[in-house]
Amino acid sequence: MITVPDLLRRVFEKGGETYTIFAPIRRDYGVMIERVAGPEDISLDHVLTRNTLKDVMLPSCEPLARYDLERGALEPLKDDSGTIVVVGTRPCDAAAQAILDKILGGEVADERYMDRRRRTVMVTVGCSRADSACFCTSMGYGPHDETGSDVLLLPAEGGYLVRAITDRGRAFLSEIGVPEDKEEGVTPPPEITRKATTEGLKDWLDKNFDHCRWEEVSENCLSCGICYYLCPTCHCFDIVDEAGLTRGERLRVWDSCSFKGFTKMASHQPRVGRHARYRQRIMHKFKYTVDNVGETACVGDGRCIRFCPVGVDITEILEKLPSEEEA
Amino acid sequence: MVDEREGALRQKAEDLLSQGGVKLVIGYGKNALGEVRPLLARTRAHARSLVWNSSCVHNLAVYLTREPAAGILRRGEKVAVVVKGCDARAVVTLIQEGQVPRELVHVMGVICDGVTYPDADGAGLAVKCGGCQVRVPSFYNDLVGDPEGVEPLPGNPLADAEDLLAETEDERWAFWREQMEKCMRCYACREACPMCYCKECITEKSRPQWIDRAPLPRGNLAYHLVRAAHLAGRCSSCGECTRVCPVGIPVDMLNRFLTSRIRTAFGHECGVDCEAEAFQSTFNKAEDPEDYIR
Repeated sequence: MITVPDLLRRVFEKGGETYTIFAPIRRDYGVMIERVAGPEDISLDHVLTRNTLKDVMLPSCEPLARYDLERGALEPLKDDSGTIVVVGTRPCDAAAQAILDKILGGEVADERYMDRRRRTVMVTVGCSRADSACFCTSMGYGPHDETGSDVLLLPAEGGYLVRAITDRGRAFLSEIGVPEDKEEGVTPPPEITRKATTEGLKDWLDKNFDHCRWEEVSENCLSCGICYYLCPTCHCFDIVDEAGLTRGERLRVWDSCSFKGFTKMASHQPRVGRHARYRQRIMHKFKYTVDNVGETACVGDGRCIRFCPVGVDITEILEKLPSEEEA
Repeated sequence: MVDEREGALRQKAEDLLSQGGVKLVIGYGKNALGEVRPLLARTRAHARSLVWNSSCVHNLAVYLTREPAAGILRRGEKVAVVVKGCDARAVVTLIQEGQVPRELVHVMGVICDGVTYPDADGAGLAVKCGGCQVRVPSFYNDLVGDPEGVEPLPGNPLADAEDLLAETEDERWAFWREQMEKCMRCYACREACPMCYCKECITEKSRPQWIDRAPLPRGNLAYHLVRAAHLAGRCSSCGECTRVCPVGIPVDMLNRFLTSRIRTAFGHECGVDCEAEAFQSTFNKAEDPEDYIR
């Protein structure tokens, strides 16, 4: 049994100098997973962080290379963050990482991403509370799910029971001198009241790329990038140069299929209306990724519902799409 | 009082859809959890689920220039929109700028007591509502609510900007630098803005690329400053840009400040008169002190 601040203290005692440590901290607008310099200030009372592990594993802005035309120099930039330790992420976000591993670690692997993943130890904290937007259980996960975690801390009376999920997690626990707990006594997980129905959805998506229902379900959508950027599994990116006249950096930055300029670098954005761009989001998550790697790219974290400025609700839409008889 | 307005709004919307030749009413509805969100009502049944309360925060004028409303207007058919006083100014500005035809937009103005944001600590009145002078919209076809005795809201819409102005230049720069570092470039502020209707935003221009695309302070600052300048004299002070920001940047502080400066410098008030010339496309040669523009 341990508390999260105590565990984080152990992490800092052992590897404060060598690990790159991320934990949830409170900002004025919400709780963020960020690099922390010490074990203080960790947030414990949130359900979800505003951002996701994507910020750590596939950063919103990642320098790839630096160039100087005058010197004729091109210098690839390495990520030398060493062992990355994430303490305090939630089971849904850890599960999302397992999905991204399949997508980005497949035949054509994203080496920068996979390199970071291989160096990462994920210490997940099981949920004691749920948000009304949470629907993880509908997607096959849950408030105490272990998918994607190396170590799982499960809430119990007076602290957390420590469970090693992977060999890496077990080795990490012995490295920082935290024993595993074998005993029972986990506080029952919070009830997840929101449900998403995906029955018949994949079949409907296979047959209904063109359907008037796409316009209907997306008519509130403003086509901003909030749901993409806060989504733990959305992973599209663009490569841009931040340059002066002769020197600059080549960066990888997040991109979103909701944007009018998305895929323009490859000639044009074929998805002209907002409905076509929203369709891409649903198709990518519930059809293309299923076809490609056998996983649904949604973990039911509910951020897209909670933070949508105009109340677009993916669970409502998933239910609505295949419901029509003539489809 | 609130219930009366909601009932009146529903009745009016039903009438417009059944007899008024209106194809679509853009109003507020609720999701399954009872949270308020925009509702595009096409039938009388939809109209009966319209709501009005202090959570009706969205500026629905943004939907006038988007499908399906834009298509309906293009076909020469009518669209009705529910507005608060601040939102009404956005509708007027859209009309001034030739984006929506006056005769096809049916404005349902609702007397507003100020709105609250569910996420904000204490759920008090939104900052933008402080000192509101347009609780009774100044422009409407139908007015919902009783204008008798409606007083402006207490407070100062520039309180936060004035606090910041009292600081040194370095401190102000540090403040904005910190805000700009947070920006993810999700463009929610732009997409929620009724006045950001450009077919192609300068941020999407890539040849040449005027504004850096990476979410770094340099490009972020350029984006927000260009946007603030484009909105000068056009911003209706609806505060949607700030409300939608997922990382808490007070985007509209820039706009509210520019609005007050423009009021002082040009005597211009945004969104008052549909017949007035659009603020940013007006050039009065006779009054211009410079002689280099012929």
